[in-house]
Amino acid sequence: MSEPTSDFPVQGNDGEDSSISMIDIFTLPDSLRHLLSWMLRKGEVTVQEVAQHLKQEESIVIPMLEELVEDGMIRVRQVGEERRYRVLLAHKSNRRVSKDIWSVLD
Amino acid sequence: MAKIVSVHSFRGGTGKSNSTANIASTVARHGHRVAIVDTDIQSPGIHVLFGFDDEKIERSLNDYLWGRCAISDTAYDVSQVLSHSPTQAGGKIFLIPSSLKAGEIARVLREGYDVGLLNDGFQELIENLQLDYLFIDTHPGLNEETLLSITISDILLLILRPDRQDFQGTAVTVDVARKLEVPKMLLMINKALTSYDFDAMRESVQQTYNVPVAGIMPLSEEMIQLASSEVFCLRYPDHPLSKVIESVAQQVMA
Repeated sequence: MSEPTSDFPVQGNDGEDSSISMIDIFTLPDSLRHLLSWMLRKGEVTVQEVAQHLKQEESIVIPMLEELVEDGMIRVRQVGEERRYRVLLAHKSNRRVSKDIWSVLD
Repeated sequence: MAKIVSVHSFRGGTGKSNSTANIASTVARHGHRVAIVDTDIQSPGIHVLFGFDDEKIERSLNDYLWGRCAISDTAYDVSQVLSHSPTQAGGKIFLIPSSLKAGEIARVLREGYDVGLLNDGFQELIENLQLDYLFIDTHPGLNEETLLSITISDILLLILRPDRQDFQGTAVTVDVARKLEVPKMLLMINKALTSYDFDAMRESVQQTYNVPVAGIMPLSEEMIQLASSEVFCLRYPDHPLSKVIESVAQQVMA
Protein backbone atom coordinates (compact mmCIF):
# COMPACT_ATOMS: atom_id res chain seq x y z
CA MET A 1 0.00 0.00 0.00
CA SER A 2 1.41 3.35 -0.92
CA GLU A 3 1.09 6.30 1.41
CA PRO A 4 -0.87 9.32 0.22
CA THR A 5 1.29 12.04 -1.27
CA SER A 6 1.96 14.99 1.00
CA ASP A 7 0.46 18.34 0.11
CA PHE A 8 2.51 20.70 -1.99
CA PRO A 9 3.82 24.10 -0.91
CA VAL A 10 1.04 26.61 -1.23
CA GLN A 11 0.53 30.31 -0.95
CA GLY A 12 -2.55 31.98 0.36
CA ASN A 13 -4.80 31.09 3.19
CA ASP A 14 -4.87 27.44 4.09
CA GLY A 15 -6.49 26.05 7.17
CA GLU A 16 -9.69 25.66 9.00
CA ASP A 17 -10.33 29.39 9.38
CA SER A 18 -10.15 30.07 5.62
CA SER A 19 -11.28 28.13 2.53
CA ILE A 20 -14.75 27.88 1.05
CA SER A 21 -17.55 25.36 1.41
CA MET A 22 -19.68 24.00 -1.41
CA ILE A 23 -22.67 25.78 0.10
CA ASP A 24 -20.70 29.06 0.00
CA ILE A 25 -19.90 28.43 -3.67
CA PHE A 26 -23.54 27.75 -4.39
CA THR A 27 -24.56 31.12 -2.96
CA LEU A 28 -21.88 33.21 -4.73
CA PRO A 29 -22.74 35.69 -7.48
CA ASP A 30 -23.15 34.00 -10.88
CA SER A 31 -19.77 34.93 -12.39
CA LEU A 32 -17.76 33.82 -9.37
CA ARG A 33 -19.79 30.63 -8.93
CA HIS A 34 -19.24 29.89 -12.62
CA LEU A 35 -15.47 30.29 -12.23
CA LEU A 36 -15.13 28.23 -9.05
CA SER A 37 -17.42 25.44 -10.35
CA TRP A 38 -15.33 25.23 -13.50
CA MET A 39 -12.12 25.18 -11.46
CA LEU A 40 -13.50 22.35 -9.33
CA ARG A 41 -14.16 20.33 -12.47
CA LYS A 42 -10.70 20.99 -13.84
CA GLY A 43 -8.90 20.34 -10.55
CA GLU A 44 -5.97 22.70 -11.10
CA VAL A 45 -5.72 25.48 -13.65
CA THR A 46 -3.15 27.91 -15.01
CA VAL A 47 -3.62 31.62 -15.66
CA GLN A 48 -3.71 30.91 -19.39
CA GLU A 49 -6.50 28.35 -18.98
CA VAL A 50 -8.56 30.73 -16.84
CA ALA A 51 -8.03 33.56 -19.32
CA GLN A 52 -9.07 31.30 -22.17
CA HIS A 53 -12.12 30.06 -20.29
CA LEU A 54 -13.29 33.53 -19.30
CA LYS A 55 -12.27 35.04 -22.66
CA GLN A 56 -10.31 37.71 -20.79
CA GLU A 57 -6.77 39.07 -21.00
CA GLU A 58 -4.27 37.51 -18.60
CA SER A 59 -3.58 40.98 -17.21
CA ILE A 60 -7.19 41.09 -16.00
CA VAL A 61 -7.30 37.50 -14.80
CA ILE A 62 -4.10 37.53 -12.68
CA PRO A 63 -5.20 40.18 -10.13
CA MET A 64 -8.62 38.53 -9.91
CA LEU A 65 -7.07 35.15 -9.09
CA GLU A 66 -4.66 36.69 -6.60
CA GLU A 67 -7.58 38.38 -4.85
CA LEU A 68 -9.33 35.02 -4.55
CA VAL A 69 -6.12 33.60 -3.06
CA GLU A 70 -6.09 36.45 -0.54
CA ASP A 71 -9.73 35.77 0.30
CA GLY A 72 -8.91 32.11 0.98
CA MET A 73 -11.19 30.76 -1.75
CA ILE A 74 -8.40 29.32 -3.86
CA ARG A 75 -4.76 28.42 -3.38
CA VAL A 76 -1.79 28.58 -5.66
CA ARG A 77 1.35 26.56 -6.15
CA GLN A 78 4.35 27.49 -8.19
CA VAL A 79 5.51 24.86 -10.70
CA GLY A 80 8.61 26.22 -12.42
CA GLU A 81 7.55 29.44 -14.08
CA GLU A 82 3.89 28.59 -13.85
CA ARG A 83 1.37 29.42 -11.13
CA ARG A 84 -1.38 26.82 -10.75
CA TYR A 85 -4.62 27.57 -8.95
CA ARG A 86 -7.20 25.32 -7.32
CA VAL A 87 -10.28 25.77 -5.16
CA LEU A 88 -9.58 25.50 -1.46
CA LEU A 89 -12.55 23.55 -0.15
CA ALA A 90 -13.31 23.71 3.55
CA HIS A 91 -13.17 20.76 5.89
CA LYS A 92 -16.70 19.66 6.63
CA SER A 93 -16.23 20.33 10.31
CA ASN A 94 -13.52 20.72 12.89
CA ARG A 95 -12.22 17.64 14.64
CA ARG A 96 -12.44 18.02 18.37
CA VAL A 97 -11.76 14.56 19.72
CA SER A 98 -9.07 11.92 19.42
CA LYS A 99 -9.15 10.18 16.06
CA ASP A 100 -9.10 6.82 17.87
CA ILE A 101 -12.20 7.42 19.98
CA TRP A 102 -14.60 5.93 17.44
CA SER A 103 -12.78 2.59 17.36
CA VAL A 104 -14.56 1.61 20.58
CA LEU A 105 -17.66 1.07 18.44
CA ASP A 106 -15.93 -1.46 16.15
CA MET B 1 -11.25 11.81 -21.51
CA ALA B 2 -13.00 10.19 -18.55
CA LYS B 3 -16.55 11.16 -17.68
CA ILE B 4 -17.82 11.58 -14.14
CA VAL B 5 -21.38 10.34 -13.70
CA SER B 6 -23.15 11.18 -10.45
CA VAL B 7 -26.20 9.12 -9.62
CA HIS B 8 -28.34 11.03 -7.20
CA SER B 9 -31.81 11.25 -5.72
CA PHE B 10 -33.35 13.84 -3.46
CA ARG B 11 -34.90 11.21 -1.22
CA GLY B 12 -33.70 7.81 -0.03
CA GLY B 13 -35.07 4.46 -1.18
CA THR B 14 -35.31 5.33 -4.85
CA GLY B 15 -33.06 2.42 -5.89
CA LYS B 16 -30.05 4.63 -6.49
CA SER B 17 -27.37 2.10 -5.58
CA ASN B 18 -29.05 -0.69 -7.52
CA SER B 19 -29.39 1.59 -10.55
CA THR B 20 -25.76 2.72 -10.26
CA ALA B 21 -24.49 -0.88 -10.09
CA ASN B 22 -26.61 -1.93 -13.05
CA ILE B 23 -25.83 1.03 -15.30
CA ALA B 24 -22.10 0.99 -14.44
CA SER B 25 -21.93 -2.77 -15.13
CA THR B 26 -23.70 -2.30 -18.46
CA VAL B 27 -21.27 0.46 -19.45
CA ALA B 28 -18.36 -1.83 -18.49
CA ARG B 29 -19.84 -4.61 -20.63
CA HIS B 30 -19.47 -2.27 -23.58
CA GLY B 31 -15.71 -2.50 -23.13
CA HIS B 32 -15.16 0.52 -20.87
CA ARG B 33 -13.07 0.86 -17.74
CA VAL B 34 -15.50 1.90 -15.01
CA ALA B 35 -15.25 2.62 -11.28
CA ILE B 36 -17.99 3.16 -8.73
CA VAL B 37 -17.29 5.23 -5.63
CA ASP B 38 -19.70 4.80 -2.75
CA THR B 39 -19.82 8.30 -1.30
CA ASP B 40 -22.88 7.44 0.76
CA ILE B 41 -20.56 7.15 3.75
CA GLN B 42 -23.37 7.51 6.27
CA SER B 43 -25.35 4.60 4.88
CA PRO B 44 -23.20 2.58 2.46
CA GLY B 45 -24.78 -0.25 0.49
CA ILE B 46 -23.66 -0.72 -3.09
CA HIS B 47 -20.87 -3.16 -2.07
CA VAL B 48 -23.58 -5.76 -1.32
CA LEU B 49 -24.43 -6.05 -5.02
CA PHE B 50 -20.82 -7.03 -5.72
CA GLY B 51 -20.73 -9.67 -2.99
CA PHE B 52 -18.90 -7.65 -0.32
CA ASP B 53 -19.53 -7.53 3.40
CA ASP B 54 -17.64 -5.90 6.27
CA GLU B 55 -15.28 -8.88 6.52
CA LYS B 56 -14.23 -8.59 2.88
CA ILE B 57 -13.69 -4.82 2.90
CA GLU B 58 -10.10 -4.36 4.06
CA ARG B 59 -9.67 -0.79 2.84
CA SER B 60 -12.46 1.69 2.25
CA LEU B 61 -13.00 5.25 1.11
CA ASN B 62 -12.93 6.21 4.79
CA ASP B 63 -9.29 5.10 5.04
CA TYR B 64 -8.37 7.42 2.20
CA LEU B 65 -10.34 10.35 3.61
CA TRP B 66 -8.56 10.01 6.93
CA GLY B 67 -5.12 9.84 5.34
CA ARG B 68 -4.42 6.17 5.98
CA CYS B 69 -3.79 5.22 2.34
CA ALA B 70 -4.01 6.37 -1.25
CA ILE B 71 -7.49 6.17 -2.80
CA SER B 72 -6.28 3.69 -5.45
CA ASP B 73 -5.48 1.29 -2.60
CA THR B 74 -9.19 1.22 -1.72
CA ALA B 75 -10.26 0.19 -5.25
CA TYR B 76 -11.34 -3.44 -5.67
CA ASP B 77 -11.36 -4.98 -9.11
CA VAL B 78 -14.81 -6.60 -9.23
CA SER B 79 -14.73 -7.38 -12.95
CA GLN B 80 -15.42 -11.04 -12.20
CA VAL B 81 -19.13 -10.10 -11.97
CA LEU B 82 -18.99 -9.52 -15.72
CA SER B 83 -17.66 -13.00 -16.45
CA HIS B 84 -21.07 -14.61 -17.03
CA SER B 85 -22.33 -11.93 -19.41
CA PRO B 86 -21.04 -11.08 -22.88
CA THR B 87 -18.49 -8.30 -22.32
CA GLN B 88 -16.48 -6.48 -24.95
CA ALA B 89 -12.71 -6.60 -24.61
CA GLY B 90 -11.26 -4.12 -22.14
CA GLY B 91 -14.36 -3.96 -19.95
CA LYS B 92 -13.39 -3.56 -16.29
CA ILE B 93 -15.24 -2.53 -13.18
CA PHE B 94 -13.75 -1.32 -9.90
CA LEU B 95 -15.52 -0.61 -6.62
CA ILE B 96 -14.42 1.86 -3.97
CA PRO B 97 -16.60 0.92 -1.00
CA SER B 98 -17.34 2.90 2.13
CA SER B 99 -16.75 1.38 5.52
CA LEU B 100 -19.43 -0.65 7.24
CA LYS B 101 -17.84 -0.36 10.67
CA ALA B 102 -20.08 1.42 13.14
CA GLY B 103 -17.17 3.41 14.56
CA GLU B 104 -16.14 4.68 11.14
CA ILE B 105 -19.69 5.74 10.28
CA ALA B 106 -20.05 7.45 13.64
CA ARG B 107 -16.80 9.29 13.06
CA VAL B 108 -18.03 10.63 9.73
CA LEU B 109 -21.28 11.77 11.27
CA ARG B 110 -19.51 13.48 14.14
CA GLU B 111 -16.43 14.90 12.46
CA GLY B 112 -17.11 15.07 8.75
CA TYR B 113 -14.18 14.92 6.37
CA ASP B 114 -12.19 16.97 3.91
CA VAL B 115 -14.49 17.36 0.92
CA GLY B 116 -11.60 18.69 -1.17
CA LEU B 117 -9.76 15.44 -0.63
CA LEU B 118 -12.74 13.63 -2.15
CA ASN B 119 -12.40 15.70 -5.32
CA ASP B 120 -8.65 15.02 -5.49
CA GLY B 121 -9.37 11.33 -4.98
CA PHE B 122 -11.74 11.21 -7.95
CA GLN B 123 -9.06 12.66 -10.22
CA GLU B 124 -6.45 10.26 -8.84
CA LEU B 125 -8.74 7.29 -9.51
CA ILE B 126 -9.38 8.41 -13.09
CA GLU B 127 -5.65 8.64 -13.74
CA ASN B 128 -4.40 5.59 -11.85
CA LEU B 129 -7.13 3.19 -13.00
CA GLN B 130 -7.21 4.71 -16.51
CA LEU B 131 -10.95 5.07 -16.27
CA ASP B 132 -13.42 5.87 -19.01
CA TYR B 133 -16.25 6.44 -16.52
CA LEU B 134 -16.31 7.22 -12.81
CA PHE B 135 -19.72 6.65 -11.22
CA ILE B 136 -20.46 8.36 -7.92
CA ASP B 137 -23.17 6.75 -5.82
CA THR B 138 -24.22 9.67 -3.64
CA HIS B 139 -25.98 10.14 -0.33
CA PRO B 140 -29.58 11.27 -0.93
CA GLY B 141 -30.50 14.91 -0.51
CA LEU B 142 -28.35 18.00 -0.73
CA ASN B 143 -25.29 18.57 1.43
CA GLU B 144 -21.63 19.52 1.01
CA GLU B 145 -20.63 16.23 -0.60
CA THR B 146 -23.58 15.92 -2.94
CA LEU B 147 -23.12 19.54 -4.06
CA LEU B 148 -19.51 18.68 -4.89
CA SER B 149 -20.52 15.53 -6.76
CA ILE B 150 -23.11 17.46 -8.73
CA THR B 151 -20.69 20.28 -9.53
CA ILE B 152 -17.93 18.06 -10.90
CA SER B 153 -20.25 15.78 -12.87
CA ASP B 154 -20.17 15.55 -16.62
CA ILE B 155 -23.47 13.73 -16.35
CA LEU B 156 -25.97 13.88 -13.51
CA LEU B 157 -28.46 11.03 -13.43
CA LEU B 158 -31.35 11.76 -11.10
CA ILE B 159 -33.44 8.84 -9.90
CA LEU B 160 -37.01 9.41 -8.80
CA ARG B 161 -40.11 7.40 -8.10
CA PRO B 162 -43.52 8.39 -9.40
CA ASP B 163 -44.31 10.03 -6.07
CA ARG B 164 -45.18 13.63 -5.25
CA GLN B 165 -42.42 13.98 -2.66
CA ASP B 166 -39.88 12.73 -5.18
CA PHE B 167 -41.25 15.06 -7.85
CA GLN B 168 -40.85 18.12 -5.62
CA GLY B 169 -37.39 17.11 -4.41
CA THR B 170 -36.22 16.42 -7.94
CA ALA B 171 -37.35 19.88 -9.00
CA VAL B 172 -35.10 21.37 -6.30
CA THR B 173 -32.15 19.21 -7.40
CA VAL B 174 -32.63 20.09 -11.07
CA ASP B 175 -32.58 23.80 -10.14
CA VAL B 176 -29.39 23.31 -8.13
CA ALA B 177 -27.72 21.38 -10.97
CA ARG B 178 -28.65 24.08 -13.48
CA LYS B 179 -27.17 26.74 -11.20
CA LEU B 180 -23.98 24.68 -10.97
CA GLU B 181 -23.93 24.33 -14.77
CA VAL B 182 -23.87 20.54 -14.98
CA PRO B 183 -23.30 19.82 -18.69
CA LYS B 184 -25.74 16.93 -19.03
CA MET B 185 -28.69 15.85 -16.92
CA LEU B 186 -30.84 12.72 -17.24
CA LEU B 187 -33.80 11.49 -15.24
CA MET B 188 -34.67 7.90 -14.52
CA ILE B 189 -38.04 6.98 -13.06
CA ASN B 190 -37.86 3.87 -10.92
CA LYS B 191 -40.41 1.58 -9.31
CA ALA B 192 -43.24 2.64 -11.60
CA LEU B 193 -46.36 0.49 -11.37
CA THR B 194 -46.87 -1.45 -14.57
CA SER B 195 -50.46 -0.20 -14.74
CA TYR B 196 -49.18 3.34 -15.44
CA ASP B 197 -49.04 4.76 -18.94
CA PHE B 198 -45.24 5.00 -19.30
CA ASP B 199 -45.34 7.15 -22.44
CA ALA B 200 -47.64 9.71 -20.81
CA MET B 201 -45.48 9.69 -17.67
CA ARG B 202 -42.30 10.25 -19.69
CA GLU B 203 -43.87 13.11 -21.60
CA SER B 204 -45.21 14.78 -18.47
CA VAL B 205 -41.95 14.49 -16.50
CA GLN B 206 -39.83 15.70 -19.41
CA GLN B 207 -42.08 18.68 -19.87
CA THR B 208 -42.11 19.52 -16.16
CA TYR B 209 -38.33 19.48 -15.67
CA ASN B 210 -37.16 20.10 -19.22
CA VAL B 211 -34.74 17.19 -18.72
CA PRO B 212 -34.74 13.98 -20.82
CA VAL B 213 -36.15 10.87 -19.17
CA ALA B 214 -33.52 8.22 -19.95
CA GLY B 215 -35.70 5.35 -18.82
CA ILE B 216 -38.67 4.21 -16.78
CA MET B 217 -38.08 1.13 -14.66
CA PRO B 218 -41.20 -0.81 -13.72
CA LEU B 219 -41.54 -2.13 -10.19
CA SER B 220 -40.23 -5.63 -10.62
CA GLU B 221 -40.87 -8.70 -8.49
CA GLU B 222 -37.66 -10.32 -9.80
CA MET B 223 -35.64 -7.29 -8.73
CA ILE B 224 -37.18 -7.41 -5.25
CA GLN B 225 -36.58 -11.16 -5.03
CA LEU B 226 -32.94 -10.71 -5.97
CA ALA B 227 -32.71 -8.49 -2.86
CA SER B 228 -29.47 -6.79 -3.95
CA SER B 229 -27.61 -10.10 -3.84
CA GLU B 230 -26.41 -9.60 -7.41
CA VAL B 231 -26.41 -7.06 -10.21
CA PHE B 232 -29.78 -7.60 -11.86
CA CYS B 233 -28.84 -6.96 -15.49
CA LEU B 234 -25.94 -9.41 -15.24
CA ARG B 235 -28.16 -12.08 -13.72
CA TYR B 236 -31.07 -11.50 -16.13
CA PRO B 237 -29.54 -9.95 -19.26
CA ASP B 238 -32.63 -10.61 -21.38
CA HIS B 239 -35.18 -9.30 -18.87
CA PRO B 240 -37.18 -6.23 -20.02
CA LEU B 241 -35.75 -4.32 -17.05
CA SER B 242 -32.22 -5.02 -18.33
CA LYS B 243 -33.28 -3.56 -21.68
CA VAL B 244 -34.28 -0.33 -19.94
CA ILE B 245 -30.93 -0.30 -18.12
CA GLU B 246 -29.18 -0.81 -21.47
CA SER B 247 -31.05 2.15 -22.91
CA VAL B 248 -30.09 4.37 -19.96
CA ALA B 249 -26.45 3.22 -20.26
CA GLN B 250 -26.49 4.09 -23.97
CA GLN B 251 -27.66 7.62 -23.13
CA VAL B 252 -24.92 7.94 -20.51
CA MET B 253 -22.33 6.89 -23.11
CA ALA B 254 -23.81 9.04 -25.91
